[in-house]
Amino acid sequence: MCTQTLLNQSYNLSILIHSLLRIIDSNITPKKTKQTMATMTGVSLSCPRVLFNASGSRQSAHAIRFALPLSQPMRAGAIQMGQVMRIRPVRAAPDKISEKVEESIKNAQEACAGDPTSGECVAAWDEVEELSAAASHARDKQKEKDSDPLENYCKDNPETIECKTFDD
Amino acid sequence: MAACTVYSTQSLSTNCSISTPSKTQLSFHQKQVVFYTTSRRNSKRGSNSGRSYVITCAAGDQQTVVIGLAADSGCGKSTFMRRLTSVFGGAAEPPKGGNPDSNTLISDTTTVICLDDYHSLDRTGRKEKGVTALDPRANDFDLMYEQVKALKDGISVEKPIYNHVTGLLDPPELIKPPKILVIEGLHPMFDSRVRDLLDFSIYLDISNEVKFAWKIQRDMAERGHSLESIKASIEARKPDFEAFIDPQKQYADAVIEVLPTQLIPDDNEGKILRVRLIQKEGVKYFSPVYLFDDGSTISWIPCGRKLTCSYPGIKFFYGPETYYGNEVSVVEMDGQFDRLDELIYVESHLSNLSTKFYGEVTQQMLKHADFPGSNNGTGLFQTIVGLKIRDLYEQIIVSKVETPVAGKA
Repeated sequence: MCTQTLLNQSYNLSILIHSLLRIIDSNITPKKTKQTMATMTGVSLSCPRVLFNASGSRQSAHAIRFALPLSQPMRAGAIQMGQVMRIRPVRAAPDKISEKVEESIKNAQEACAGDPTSGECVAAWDEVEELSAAASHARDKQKEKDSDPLENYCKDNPETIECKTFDD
Repeated sequence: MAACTVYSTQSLSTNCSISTPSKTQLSFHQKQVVFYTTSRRNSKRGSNSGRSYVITCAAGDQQTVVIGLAADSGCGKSTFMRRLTSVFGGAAEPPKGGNPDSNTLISDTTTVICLDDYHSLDRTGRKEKGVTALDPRANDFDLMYEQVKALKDGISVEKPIYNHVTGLLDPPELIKPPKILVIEGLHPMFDSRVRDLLDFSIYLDISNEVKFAWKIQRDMAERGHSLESIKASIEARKPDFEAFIDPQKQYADAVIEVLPTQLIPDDNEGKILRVRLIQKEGVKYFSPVYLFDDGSTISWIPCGRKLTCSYPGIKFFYGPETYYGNEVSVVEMDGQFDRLDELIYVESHLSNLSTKFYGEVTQQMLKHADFPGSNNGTGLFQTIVGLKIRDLYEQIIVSKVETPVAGKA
């Protein structure tokens, strides 16, 4: 239920922001923009702190993605890491990279068992970082792919004719 | 170095390529071609002494402005790039029909290349030698210099691709000289030759506390990762980071420093950020953003009678400082925007933003409200730096039109 609420909130927020953008863009002359902005005061700009993406995950519920900071996992302190929570799984990176990340962490832990300052150990943790970054990029790419292509296009090109919204 | 022949010809409009000792691919797609000789030694294949010939296509209307962006992995380079290309107009996308694992982004005006593509050691090579990607020994600065120089001179290059998934170097891709070339990665300001090619440089300086918080956000979902593994990775890379990456910030024209907030005493959540935009004084085509009065020292809390802010509020600071022996102007924002009117209010009080219309900063921030940092100083200052770079580009283009090509040789 919590997931659903957050999902709806973020969705509504993005629609709201989107329509605000269109208003700004259709009133591109400086003076008008100013007026439009003045009427928009009081609109909440806060970004949703936790974003769950529930659609199209091919992964089993192995992990929960804590989308924001330290405070979040800590507040969820009663729940042990690795325990499966009963909320919908969020997409992790495509399987291939995920496996590599997992494997690289194991390798790094082994490589550092002897000497934690050895070149071998440092290089192994560097590989973990590289793969984790790649996994994160892959997740972002996938997210973009899954969302509405017109929405994506209009996000970058709100001034084009197919993205304009008109009032009657 | 002198210009010896100038051809003005239409027949070279088709692509042709000539191999030079540096293996730089040349393609002609401009009207004017300037030939000149240079005695620059090819340091990598140093055995062939004597003169190497460099052919430059320098057209009066084509000038590539080169921007460098340095930051550690996982410190917001990609987000910054998306904001930057958005300010320039149009979306930046991977090259069409190329390697799906290409790290390059291309828009109408801008090409962003990732300097990981200049790794000289692939993943296996680094593992064998026990060096990290942060180590200069894992990177080919000669090739980086040659190719960035070629692009700046209007020559296309065949750039290698480092595949972050496989850890291997893939077959190269053709990069044509864009209007704006952004080189982003770990070492854009490490090599002095590459550094000298930069028209503007930025360093994203993320404090250890914030770096840790960001990597937890990024990695906790990943199988196998734990707080311990995230911490271990940061700690293991730290010596190389401090030796090779961090010192580059002294050369940057703009540094964006991201620190924990001071608004909440002993805050360790890493949620509210204090962000400082450190702008070097005396950089050509770059005049720093300021608050109220250029050169003064000002502490400003916008929240009050006119503007209501939610806890813990917003605090600004502006003033002159010294940074690594350079005169700089610093604008600092602590806290976050919770409402649109706060952002508009702040924008209207900042000066020298290089916006094209009232509210452009706010518009850019709203446009990408889904990007990380759109409600705090990271998004604000990244957007402002984007506007300053657009302004810098426009000034450089105007100055090149005024001074003809001859001035270059």
